[in-house]
Amino acid sequence: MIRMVGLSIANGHDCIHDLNLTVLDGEIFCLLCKQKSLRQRLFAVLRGFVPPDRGEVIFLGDPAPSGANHVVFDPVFAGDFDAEATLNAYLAFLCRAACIRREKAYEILIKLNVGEDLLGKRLRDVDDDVFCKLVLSVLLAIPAPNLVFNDLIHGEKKAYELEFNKLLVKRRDEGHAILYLTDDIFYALHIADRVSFIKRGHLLPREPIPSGDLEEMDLMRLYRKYLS
Amino acid sequence: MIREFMRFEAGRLFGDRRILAVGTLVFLIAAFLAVTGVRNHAAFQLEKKSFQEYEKQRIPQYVNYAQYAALGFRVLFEPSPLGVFFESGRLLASLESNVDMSELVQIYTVHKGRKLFVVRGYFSDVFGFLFVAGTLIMVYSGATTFSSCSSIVLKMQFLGYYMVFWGTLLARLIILSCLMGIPVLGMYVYAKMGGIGFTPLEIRNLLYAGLLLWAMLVFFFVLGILFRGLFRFRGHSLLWSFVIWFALVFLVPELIMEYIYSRSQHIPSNDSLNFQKLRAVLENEARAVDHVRNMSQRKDVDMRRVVRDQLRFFMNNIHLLNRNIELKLTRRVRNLIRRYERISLLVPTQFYVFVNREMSGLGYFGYLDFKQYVMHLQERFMRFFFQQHYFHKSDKVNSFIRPGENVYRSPSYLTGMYGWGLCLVLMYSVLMAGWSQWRYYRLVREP
Repeated sequence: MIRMVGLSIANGHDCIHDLNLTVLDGEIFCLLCKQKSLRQRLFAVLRGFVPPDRGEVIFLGDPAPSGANHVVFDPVFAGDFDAEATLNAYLAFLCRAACIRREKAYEILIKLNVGEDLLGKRLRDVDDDVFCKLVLSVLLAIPAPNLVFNDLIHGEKKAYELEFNKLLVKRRDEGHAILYLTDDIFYALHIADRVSFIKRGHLLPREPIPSGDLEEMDLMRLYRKYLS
Repeated sequence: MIREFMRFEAGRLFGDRRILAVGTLVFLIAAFLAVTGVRNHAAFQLEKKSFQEYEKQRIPQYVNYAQYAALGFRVLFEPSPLGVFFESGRLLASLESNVDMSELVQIYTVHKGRKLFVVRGYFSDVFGFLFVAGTLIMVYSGATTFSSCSSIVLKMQFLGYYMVFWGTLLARLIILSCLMGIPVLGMYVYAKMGGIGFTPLEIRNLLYAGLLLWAMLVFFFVLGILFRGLFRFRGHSLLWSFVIWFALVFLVPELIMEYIYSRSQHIPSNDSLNFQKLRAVLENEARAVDHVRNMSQRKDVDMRRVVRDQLRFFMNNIHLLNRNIELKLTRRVRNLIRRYERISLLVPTQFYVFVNREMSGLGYFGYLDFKQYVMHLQERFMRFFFQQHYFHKSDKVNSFIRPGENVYRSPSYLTGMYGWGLCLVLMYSVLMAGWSQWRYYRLVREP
């Protein structure tokens, strides 16, 4: 379970006032926010890099063997990483660092259409999305009870999105709490159990909307109201 | 976990074709320089033999001691065998001295015939080349250690910031240090196979030089890391790292050398000193001639005793006076060298050049000791000449030089401030690493 209690972040125009939100175990919660910088700021707070101005974030649940009781997912760009190392080297290192078995991550990789033949190649010799899948597979293989995503599949291919959704739903069904930060209301409708919006620093509506209700709502109106 | 870091960083390094290509090239050039170093050493030994042979045959050709005194004999400066690795100083390349009765300390370099080509460019020896090429590789490796904030953040999620920063830094540094150690070790083994017998002192100094080279590599590695952070992983961070590298390796030592040269202009010129000495000798000579002439007109005077008294007077007064002039000059030169060493301490690259030069025995301290040796020989030669010329009157000219005495074998010097210099270089590295750690910490936490 992820709980935000009276969370306030102030950074010029990017601010959040008194955010109280609980993401339950076995739930995918989409927090929609138009301002990318504010999402980044909130993500940094959730990650623990920046302390909030007020309030706190609590991650509940039994920690994974590595000691982490939450895992955060940020989009990675292969260009930011050293292109000379092989994917295998990255996989081995990250698995060892995350205290998970390589097979477990490899299992997910296979589902994401990354075969053993690709793992032997250097980063510069493979498509950018292969590396993203590799990182995702390692992170998803960590049995942490809480997951936080920051607009992870924005602009990704549809096939990748579908595979990712499957993995996400599987984690939810295993009883993990999943918080997804995005500005994509269509994706939220597709994946979330509940959604909320952040506009002008406030959580709107005060009670999150269940996705069942969301399907019946006029998305264009919602978009104009909260995200435009 | 450090093993995982090592494995990962080894994969990164060996996967980088640029580093591999440059590393191989460095190894080959270093091997070539070691081979030429050993050959130069062998060639010098032959040259030394012919020098000694020539000197041995020259002395008996003199008709009398007066001729021997006027023409004197030569003393050859032989660098330490460690010069095989550290020849770049070449400050005292093909140095000789002529010892005669002129009271002048003559030390000169020979640039005649093939000796014209003895003086070569900077860093043309193994340690000098490894320094230039190694530091360049290290700056590049340092600047590419952390490719972006994301690469740190991703690992931080599992290991924490400090583990990621120090684990990556140390793992990479250990691998690069081992790689750079291979050529040094290879050169040493080759030199041993090449028939050069190093004394325990020289082996110790070689290890100290290796340690300093390693410290320099660490310094530039951390410098690369720091600049990458200061320029927020932007492309031109690499360019700025290279600019700083160039300034530190080539520009700053030249500027310091220029400063020392300007300071050296305050030391009196050799000609003015020689003139002082000459005047003292001539005045004494005039006085002695007058005195001997006066005494010879008297009866019952032992002229041998008069001459002996004059010679004693010369040795105890005039020669000592001239010697003091030389010693005063040496003292001033030594003070300037000390100042140079102290300034070098502050700039790691300059300190490295200074230490390397002294290691080969071809540096300033080698010169000072050589001069001391020549002055000592000169004093002994004077006494020998007076004895033979005025008192023994033998027909045959005997050589003053005992076997091997006309070759001065310069030892390898470890400068007095080596420890301080090494500590300072390491301290700079630690401080820069600390600064980098703080800088990267701030960068990765920026939302």
